[in-house]
Amino acid sequence: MPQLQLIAELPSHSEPAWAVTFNPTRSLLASCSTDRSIRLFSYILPSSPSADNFPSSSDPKPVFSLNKVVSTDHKRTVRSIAWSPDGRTLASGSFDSTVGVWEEVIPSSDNEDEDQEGVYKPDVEGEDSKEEKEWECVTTLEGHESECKSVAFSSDGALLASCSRDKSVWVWEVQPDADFECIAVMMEHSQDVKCIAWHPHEEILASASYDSHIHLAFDDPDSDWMLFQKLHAKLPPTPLTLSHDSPASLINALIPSPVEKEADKQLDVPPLEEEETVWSLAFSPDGGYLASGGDLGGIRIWKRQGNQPDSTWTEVLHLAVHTRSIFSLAWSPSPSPSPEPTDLGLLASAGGDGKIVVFQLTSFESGVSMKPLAAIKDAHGVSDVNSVGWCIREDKKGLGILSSAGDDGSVKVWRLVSDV
Amino acid sequence: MSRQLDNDNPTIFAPTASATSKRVQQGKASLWASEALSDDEYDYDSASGSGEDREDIDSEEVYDLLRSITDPEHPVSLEALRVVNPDDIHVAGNRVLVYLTPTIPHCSMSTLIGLSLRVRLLRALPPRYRVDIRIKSGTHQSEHAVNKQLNDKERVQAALENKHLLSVVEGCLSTADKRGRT
Repeated sequence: MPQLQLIAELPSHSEPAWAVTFNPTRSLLASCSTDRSIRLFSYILPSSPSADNFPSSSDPKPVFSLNKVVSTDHKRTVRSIAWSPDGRTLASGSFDSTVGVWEEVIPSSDNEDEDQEGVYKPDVEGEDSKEEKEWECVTTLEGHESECKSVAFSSDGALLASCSRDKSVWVWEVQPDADFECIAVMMEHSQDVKCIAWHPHEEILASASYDSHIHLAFDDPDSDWMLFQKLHAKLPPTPLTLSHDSPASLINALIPSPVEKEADKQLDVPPLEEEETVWSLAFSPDGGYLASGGDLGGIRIWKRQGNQPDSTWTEVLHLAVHTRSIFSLAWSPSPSPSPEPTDLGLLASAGGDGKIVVFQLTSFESGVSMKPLAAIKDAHGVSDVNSVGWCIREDKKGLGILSSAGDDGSVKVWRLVSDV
Repeated sequence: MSRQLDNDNPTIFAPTASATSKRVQQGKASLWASEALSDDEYDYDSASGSGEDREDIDSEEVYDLLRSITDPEHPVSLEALRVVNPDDIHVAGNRVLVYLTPTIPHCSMSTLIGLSLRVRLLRALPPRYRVDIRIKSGTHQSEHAVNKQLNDKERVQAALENKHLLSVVEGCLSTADKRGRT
């Protein structure tokens, strides 16, 4: 059975860190925080990747280091960040209601340019320029009336979506020269929109809300962007079960200890009576499934019933996993060199109970199974874990590497290793 | 002056329990830092024999942290209004559960009071404690909606970044360090 091995604890934000995300084309990891900064970490993967699904814990580790601290102009918490598929652009959603768009540019420095004119300087290998590039805000998108909670680029990078406590979901068309045109504003949610996610290869947008619903929208060829399905969870939770041969690390992380059971007995916190907020969404890499996580700590899996853009999705699984809200879900393709067709990849979840759990998802005739593969409790000490993000790159290197961000401001990196 | 109070004539009760003073009183409450009951600041005078055992906080101490918070509408403590009561605070392991009792069932200040309690505990308790706040069952007409809002961490964070709201909360908390003393 694999395990999660901590491979890097990166220099912390000074306030809670809310999101982490790997760049899809370059060796960069980004994080954002209430301290209003974005941190960029660079990393080097080991040169000889393991032939197996997972490396051994004694294999050379990827090396991470702080690359840049970008002080944003956001006036409040930077809640969410997202890379464009080409890896050149970073979007940031802030509680100040705006969305920032960041690109790496050569800072304009007047006198240096003249000095260098006519002087031959060979290009340095692997660098576009001898000058240090800086991440700068090239556009600020305004429109939301209150806190922006989530931003995401569509799979081909042509569209950017944002959502807010103002109950709206906006779709922006990405145009040349950092120009963004709002092409749709959807107002169907009745409360805060907490999270948005794009389908991995189609223009389908999912949004999750405090109103306990997930909305699915697409660009109707006959009209505009429109909602085509409202998902509302119905399945009761299935308890999480572990097989007898489960490793101790999994049992320790997922089964309450005697002390925790005693505290449970002494103090039973009554569940919220209102229907649960849906905090997090993740599509499966093949696009056939959607995972959602909410206040009650269960992971729900929704299956697409057809291949039309507006094919309906139905709830097929609800597994009790966390004891508090699930703030983040991330779904990675299988790290196996030759995955079975039924292998749906790895789903990671994290939340207010401080745990990170990784599942193997497998499809079978009538549904989908979720097998707990590895788990860590107190992943960020006593803090909530706000975000998890897999390393998913065009070159498929680095699969099985997971980053996390917590209320302690720290950013950590883990990898799945094969040995116990 | 002209604003209509939600409850313009609340019942005020005499204080009951006396303040416990297990720990050294520190400076006045300011943003986040001071007066925190952090584990390191504890007085471990009772023989530091078994090294890592840390003193657990009990419900009475949590009550002490909350009792002297001022009501947002009246210059009176939450203790005197019986908005917080010793019997409605529960502590086990690293969990704290506080029930608050609004003075009237349509009190629009309940969310603000709940936010003040949350901010107070966020600042004063060691970070290992996870705090849940609930309206006492049957005491507010929209208790479930208020409960959900009070326990939404994004809304709490956003409220703390709202200068106006934060200044109201700071006003309520300015008396919190009296801990029952007058």
